[in-house]
Amino acid sequence: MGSVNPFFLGCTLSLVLSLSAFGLIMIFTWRRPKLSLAISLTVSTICLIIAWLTFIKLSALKEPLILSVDWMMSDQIRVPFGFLLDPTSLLMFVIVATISWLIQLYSIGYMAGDSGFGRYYAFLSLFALSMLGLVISSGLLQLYICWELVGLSSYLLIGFWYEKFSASEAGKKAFVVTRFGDIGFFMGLAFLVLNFGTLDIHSINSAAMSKAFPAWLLTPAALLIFCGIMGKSAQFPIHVWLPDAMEGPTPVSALLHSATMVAAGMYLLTRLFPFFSCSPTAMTVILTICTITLLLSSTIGMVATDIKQVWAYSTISQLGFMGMGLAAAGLTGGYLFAGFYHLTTHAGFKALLFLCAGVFIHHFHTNDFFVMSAKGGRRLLIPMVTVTIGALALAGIFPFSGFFSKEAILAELWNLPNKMWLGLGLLGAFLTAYYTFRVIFVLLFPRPQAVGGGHGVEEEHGHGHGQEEEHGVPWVMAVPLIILAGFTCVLGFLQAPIQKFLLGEVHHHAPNYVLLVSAVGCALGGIGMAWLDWGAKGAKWEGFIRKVPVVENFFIQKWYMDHFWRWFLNTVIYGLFSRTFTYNDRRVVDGGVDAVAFGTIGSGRLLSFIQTAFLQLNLLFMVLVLGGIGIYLLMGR
Amino acid sequence: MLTNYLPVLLYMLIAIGLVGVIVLLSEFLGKKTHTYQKDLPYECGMDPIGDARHRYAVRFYVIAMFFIVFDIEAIFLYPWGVIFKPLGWFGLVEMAIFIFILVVGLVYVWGKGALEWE
Amino acid sequence: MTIAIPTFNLSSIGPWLTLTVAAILILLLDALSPKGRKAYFPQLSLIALAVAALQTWWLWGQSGTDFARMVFLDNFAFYFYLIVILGTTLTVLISRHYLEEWGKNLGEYYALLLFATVGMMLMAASNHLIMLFLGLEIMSIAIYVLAGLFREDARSNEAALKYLVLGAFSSAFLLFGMAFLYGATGGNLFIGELAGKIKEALPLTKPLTLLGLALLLVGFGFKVASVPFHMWTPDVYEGAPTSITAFMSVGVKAAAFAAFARIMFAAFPAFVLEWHMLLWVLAVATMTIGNVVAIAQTNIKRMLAYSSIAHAGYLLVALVAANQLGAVSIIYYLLAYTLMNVGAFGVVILVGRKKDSYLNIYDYAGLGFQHPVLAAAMSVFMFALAGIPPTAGFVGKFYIFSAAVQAGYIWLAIIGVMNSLVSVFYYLRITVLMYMRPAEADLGPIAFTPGLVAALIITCAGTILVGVFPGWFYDLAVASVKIFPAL
Repeated sequence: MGSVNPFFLGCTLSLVLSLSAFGLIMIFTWRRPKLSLAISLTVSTICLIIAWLTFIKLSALKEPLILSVDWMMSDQIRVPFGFLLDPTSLLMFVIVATISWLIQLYSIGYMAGDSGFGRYYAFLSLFALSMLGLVISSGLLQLYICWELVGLSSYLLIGFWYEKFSASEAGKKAFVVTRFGDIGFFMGLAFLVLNFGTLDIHSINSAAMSKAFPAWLLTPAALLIFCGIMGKSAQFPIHVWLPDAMEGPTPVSALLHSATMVAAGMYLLTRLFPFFSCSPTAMTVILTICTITLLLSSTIGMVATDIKQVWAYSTISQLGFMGMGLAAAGLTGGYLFAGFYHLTTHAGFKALLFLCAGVFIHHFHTNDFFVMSAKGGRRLLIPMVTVTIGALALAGIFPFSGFFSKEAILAELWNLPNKMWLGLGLLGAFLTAYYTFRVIFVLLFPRPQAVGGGHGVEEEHGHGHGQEEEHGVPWVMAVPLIILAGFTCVLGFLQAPIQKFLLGEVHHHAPNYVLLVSAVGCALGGIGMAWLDWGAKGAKWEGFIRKVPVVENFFIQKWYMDHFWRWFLNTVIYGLFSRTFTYNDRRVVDGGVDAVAFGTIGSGRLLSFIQTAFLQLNLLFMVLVLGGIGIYLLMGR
Repeated sequence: MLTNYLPVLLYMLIAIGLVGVIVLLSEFLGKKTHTYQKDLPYECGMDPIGDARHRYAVRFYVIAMFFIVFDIEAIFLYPWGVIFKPLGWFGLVEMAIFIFILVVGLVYVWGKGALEWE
Repeated sequence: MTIAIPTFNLSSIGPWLTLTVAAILILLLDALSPKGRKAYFPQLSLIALAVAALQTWWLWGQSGTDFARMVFLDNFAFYFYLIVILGTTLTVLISRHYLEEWGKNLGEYYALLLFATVGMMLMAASNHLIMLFLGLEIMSIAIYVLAGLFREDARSNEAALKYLVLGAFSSAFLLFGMAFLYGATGGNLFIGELAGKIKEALPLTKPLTLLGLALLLVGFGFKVASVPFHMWTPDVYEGAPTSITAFMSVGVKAAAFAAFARIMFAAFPAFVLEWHMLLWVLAVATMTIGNVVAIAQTNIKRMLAYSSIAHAGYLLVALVAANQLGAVSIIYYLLAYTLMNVGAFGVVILVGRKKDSYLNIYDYAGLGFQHPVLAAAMSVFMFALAGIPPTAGFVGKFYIFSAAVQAGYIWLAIIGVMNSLVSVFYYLRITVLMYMRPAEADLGPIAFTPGLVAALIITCAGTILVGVFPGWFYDLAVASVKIFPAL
């Protein structure tokens, strides 16, 4: 056991408190919203304080702090559980604690009057527990357990309005689809533990840095673990769950499905960055997949009409962008800084965007931003300003945080020998700026007559509460917006301190003006394009993509990915495997299980019938058995 | 080897012979009068024929158990008495504890009223 | 004539002395105090148990023997002291209110519990077969009486009588086996030296030793309630007072397994193949029959009785494995089992009320809505008994089955795991009933007395803590099985 250190006590405390908040609310207070809220918010505040204190106290950390307790032991198996505090985990710890605190605050307003208010906060506490546990865990098994817990809380929160069919379906979809990736993840862990012997993150990374892994072990393990990352971070081709996950309450989308949980995949990539970067093959695969994801989701984002869908696809694309940054850094021997920095800034501005969207949705009871625009969305001053700030950051405009982090990632891509990746990255930046400002311009310059003009189906977002709110934005919802907007404005200028914190030193690059100009050019180009299509006086309110209907339809149909999976399920899984398996199941397994079950119950009855109350028979039986044993022992050998 | 057991064999033979001789002698020498009562397996006590499922007052058993317990206590005292000197104080203390525990039992039994017949 | 009086150190049997003195004190107070003033016996027992636990803690780490080699002083014994003390403490906690309901809050009850505890400790620590037998009898006789505590209740009477007759028989078997070993080894019954003596005399006395082994197996098989010597278990467990059933299922089992493991590991290396084979069969039969019959039970005490048989089967698996992990898992599992089983019986007492009127499993329907905390506690115990993580039951089973795999008994482990699956059915049925079935009638108030609540909190927290943080207990167990160099 390591020495008991106040930081570890703090970590343990935050986990234990979150767990007890979940337990308390679920068992005792779920019928009483006020009390549940008080419990959950108190715990969340304590976690926030712990996180920031730890972060500040350990900001000059040289060596990672490790607390490891052997959880289960036998001669061959050692499963250590514990905490690994290093700059990466500390930063993520703070991000998670901060955003979940803000979300809890925001939800007071958003979820007010919902019948499941207490339950909602219980789930948020469960999420906080699992996400904080995931971030600071020292071993991959512990991380995996928290990973699955995060998946569980995600499922619970997506399907929070379970009486709504689409919500419960979306919850199921998210749960099942991410399981695909997790199977790979689990197999990777098993592969690693069987051949390497430990799942301790620190020792894996040290071993990777000293080139202790043979290639046959490294690449398969890395790719299998990446399967889990693909599932959790919604990378192509198993990204299909994330847009549907927007069925959950909007604060949940902000917390789980943009800022923290889906970033867990990229976080894992960062966590095992030395390990992954030892395998160029794996890194190339990751780079490819992330690039595909970036383009795919940006293009779909261009045609979506549901504001949350736009942000969802934008999340997917930004996650892909982070992955690209990390993979490029891994391939060129760079640092994990760029990708992780983008994760940090993205957490801030994407949560901001979602929360703004939440305000609009809450106010207008619709998800379609064309309708919002028509109903006068721009009159909501605070959200309108903050959403613009968020959008500027997302598009990568100076001086907002997104600009700096995107710049860092593009610099990593610049270092790659093949400039194609850079080009694709710039294209992604252009598309991002375009679809972002499409939303902004539509909201800013409403045209009531254009509503419903072929812009997809208007979809009423089903809240549990339908009563009309008072005009304006409640302060509990406004305050988080302002705080997050503040972060968005400030984080960019903290690039050097964060870099110093993460890497221990600042790497100064000579400013690359070509890159700078082209990146800003792409962003401004995207915005300009959006202005031409949606903002300007004479704009037709048609995307430029409308000129090529085939492509537009392709994007609207989401690249036919859902169709593909449906087809895949229908023909391959159901048609090929299921039919045979069903037959096998019905006839062989079911029959067998039934036979066993009935046989078990029947034989249970039979055997208890044999159980007589006659002492004499019992004794006789004992003596007979004794005789048998005696005969066996004497004659048997 | 086996010759070592010769005295035992001899002893057994003598014992069997003696018993046989006595039985035979009493058969020949004794005076026999047969009555019904005399031919019963037990000359006195209970009627051995009848339903075995009698109900007895449980007190008999309680008393019998007490008797056995304190009887054994007394029997333990004899060997101790024989080697009282070599055992010395150690033996005295040990025996005191032993008797104390039995006295506790007696007190308990007494306090519970098990010694009262009615 | 001189007699060499062996040197001995009274402190090495300190826990026994404490408990004996407390029991005697309780008896005296009970006999001398006026009727109706008997409230302080549980407290007295608890204090004595705490002192005994403390003394055990002081003894921890010693090794060797005392009292002319009659008594082992080693961590193996001390670990079992702690388990037994824990079991007794919990039993005392759950007893009081229950006994008052039946109007049986007697001093004898606590005195007999403490005496039985001393007997169990003696079994765990004895280095001589006769000492072992003494311990067994001290324990058994006390429990015969306790099983029949409710004299007016026909089932309690049946339980006591049955347990007495069959128990006496099994004691006789055990004693008979010891006699054979006495003959086979030329008059040496020290457990620590038995292995050497048996080996020495093997060519001459093999049949004798084997018969002794067979008889010992039967005797112990009876005490741990293994099939086919389990016939008494359901009736006795059902008929005996519920608190005593809990005590029997954890205390007697722990003590019997302590002695069983010690003898098997220490004394019979020469016949490893034979007893492994026999115990293999016994383990499979015990697990299977215990679990399968438990499914058909509707009385919760009877169900737990069969479950206890099944758990004896799991423990036999660990015994068969006969490696270090196996020994560790026996100790660990008994600790876990003590916590979860007494907890389950505590809930049975709480729900049973009014002289055990609600013992049917369908009486648990709807408990989750009317008494959510109680139902949650029961669910924890059921999960633990079924071996579902993160409870102590899971870790214990994990150790047991990995020990079996390690020893090469793959099939035994597979059968064990399948049996665990079967057991999930009847354990979770209780949970399902509690949460998914509406109550047929209002359950009415349940008297949460401090003792019962304390016992439930201890067991519930213990079940989870021992399961979530097994490391410390594992280390203790490893330290305790160091005494078996052969493993």
